[in-house]
Amino acid sequence: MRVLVVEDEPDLLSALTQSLREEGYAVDSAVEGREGLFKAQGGEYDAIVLDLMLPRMDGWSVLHELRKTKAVPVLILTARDALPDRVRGLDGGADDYLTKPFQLAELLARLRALIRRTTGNANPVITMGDIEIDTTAHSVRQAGHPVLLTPREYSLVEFLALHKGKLVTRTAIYDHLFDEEDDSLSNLVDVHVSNVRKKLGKDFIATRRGEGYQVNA
Amino acid sequence: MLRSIRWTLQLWHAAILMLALIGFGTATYYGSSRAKYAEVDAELAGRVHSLAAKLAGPLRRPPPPVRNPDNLDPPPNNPNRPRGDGPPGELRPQDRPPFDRPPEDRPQGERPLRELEVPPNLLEPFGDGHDDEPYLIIWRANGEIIKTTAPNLQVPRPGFQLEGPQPAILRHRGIIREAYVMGPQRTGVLIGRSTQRQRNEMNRLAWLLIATGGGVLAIGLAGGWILSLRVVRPIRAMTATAATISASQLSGRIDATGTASELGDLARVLNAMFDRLESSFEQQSRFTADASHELRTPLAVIHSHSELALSRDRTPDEYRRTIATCLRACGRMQGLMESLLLLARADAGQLKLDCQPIDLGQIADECLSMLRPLAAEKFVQVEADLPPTDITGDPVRLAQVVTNLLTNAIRYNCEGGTVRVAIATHEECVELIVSNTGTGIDAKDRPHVFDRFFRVDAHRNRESGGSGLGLAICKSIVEAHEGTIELTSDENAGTIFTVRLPSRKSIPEIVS
Repeated sequence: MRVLVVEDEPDLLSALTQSLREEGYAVDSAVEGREGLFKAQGGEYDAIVLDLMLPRMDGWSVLHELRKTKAVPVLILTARDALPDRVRGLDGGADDYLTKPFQLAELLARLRALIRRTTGNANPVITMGDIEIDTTAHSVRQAGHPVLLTPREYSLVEFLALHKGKLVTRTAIYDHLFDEEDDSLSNLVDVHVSNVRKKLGKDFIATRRGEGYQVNA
Repeated sequence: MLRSIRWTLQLWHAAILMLALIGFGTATYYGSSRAKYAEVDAELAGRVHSLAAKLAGPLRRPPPPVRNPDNLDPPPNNPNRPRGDGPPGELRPQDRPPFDRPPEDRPQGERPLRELEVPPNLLEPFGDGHDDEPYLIIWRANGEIIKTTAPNLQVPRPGFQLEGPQPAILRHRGIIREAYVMGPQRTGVLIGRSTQRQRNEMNRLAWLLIATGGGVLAIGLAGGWILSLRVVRPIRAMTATAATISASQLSGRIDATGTASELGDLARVLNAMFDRLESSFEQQSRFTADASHELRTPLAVIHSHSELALSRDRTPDEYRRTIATCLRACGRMQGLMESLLLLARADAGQLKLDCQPIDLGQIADECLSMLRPLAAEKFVQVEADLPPTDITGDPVRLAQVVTNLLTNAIRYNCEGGTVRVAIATHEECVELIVSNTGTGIDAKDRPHVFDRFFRVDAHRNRESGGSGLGLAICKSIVEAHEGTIELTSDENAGTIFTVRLPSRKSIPEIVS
């Protein structure tokens, strides 16, 4: 899952990016409004964390511009806690609103919920055959037995599971699993796919030659 | 209820109306009564005088040959004397003797009084009533009644004292009014009458006055009630509107159109007050929102870094970094708290100044030397013209002002620009001028640069720090020194801040 954080306070930005990375997200960041809008319009994000009081372009304007082209879930994270601000934020196209100071755990839970809902999954535990993926605990069980995956492998499984039954291109996987600073080669995706197949069975991920991958419900 | 304007008005109105009516009624009653009785009295006096004159006047026929003036006995051989059963000398009403007409040469006083005859017109009723027929009584000097037309009346004899043409003396006995005068030969002449008719008329008048007064009072009170309703209704409407205007709902206004002028004025004054209140509340809530935003951000930093550090085991280096970040955030909060506290104290007029004789030039120079590294970092040249300038002020606070102004001038300058700081001494004041060659401030932003938390947004950046309170603090400090601060700015030609402080003048220390 790839997340964009737009926040002008460097100390807060560092805490956010670090905790999101530790949760297995690929994280991009922007320190002012225009940069944030540029990245949001150009990148494939699963969620955006947006501050409102930003230099050069405030969060409402970023949101307004972004909503013209993108439906990506946006969580507003701001010190502005007045009711009119919250209403304005949500009515302006935001999907959630969290005020500073906040608990990291809550922010992470809200992001998980946002991503779950936008992919059409209400249940945090995704079941496919005998495989259960707990998106909260980041754990995978097969026939009741836990399967050990690396964070990257888990992200791949989770991404495919959230889009189960759909064709997912290699580029899409690459875009959602690696952040802007990651210059891994795109064939790394194939390596991860093959590792996951080894752990969860060959048939878990089907290859559509020349198109991409797919997991079936 | 009694505290309401309407009832107070009504009670006062009733009291005043009642007093006026009572005063009017009483005056009318007594005026009318005086006039009536004066008329009666004048009539009585006139009659008693004319009777006395008649007594003293010439007799109608020759007097009897013998007459004792002292005794006043009637002459025994008067052929015209009517026979009567009464004692001699008594004048009986049923046989009124004609007045004696004395011959022209006969001296007055020697007239035989027993021959008195009362002219009938003297005893005619005054008006058309029949209960007030006048009566007359004539006494001799010794108190004997010579003549009476009312023998059944017990009329006490008044004390007659003076002879001659005197004004008639008036006597009131109950409803009876009498006038008497000393007649000839020390006789006493009295005419009296009952004033029952006048009394009845006065009673009727009294009742009429009471009835009319009651009617006027009732109409007056009803009119007053309606008037007070008309006065109170717009007040009630204003009260109802004002009651709906609260801290959370300040947008309502009282309708001042079509209201009576005084109330319209009141409504306009209240509306103006609500305007000021609304803008003050708006300012206050904006200030609170800004202050809380500025405080929440470092708090969020501390919170998130601490939470992150505790979420799993970290290396000592990571912990150290976390603690350093938290410390930075704490420092920022502390600076903000101090700024807010200073502003709050200045607002309350409790900004304590430690005033003493200082050299402003030296203070500015010290501030400048502290900021030279920042200027070098921004490649900004600094020019200074700081002659020794003695003023009275708080060195720490004034240094804060100079530092704030210089920091802004350096930070919002373009690379390779110049910052100039100079002091000019005038007769009345000392000017500290800080100017830069930066991009200047938009005309629309200029009035707000001293507002709290105001930032010229294009420049707003966390990297360059600043909470947006610096210039507000400068203004508070300068104003506490009874000075002024102003800016002139041209876009693309830099900004000039001018601080004017009173020169060599002792500034009264403001003590909380």
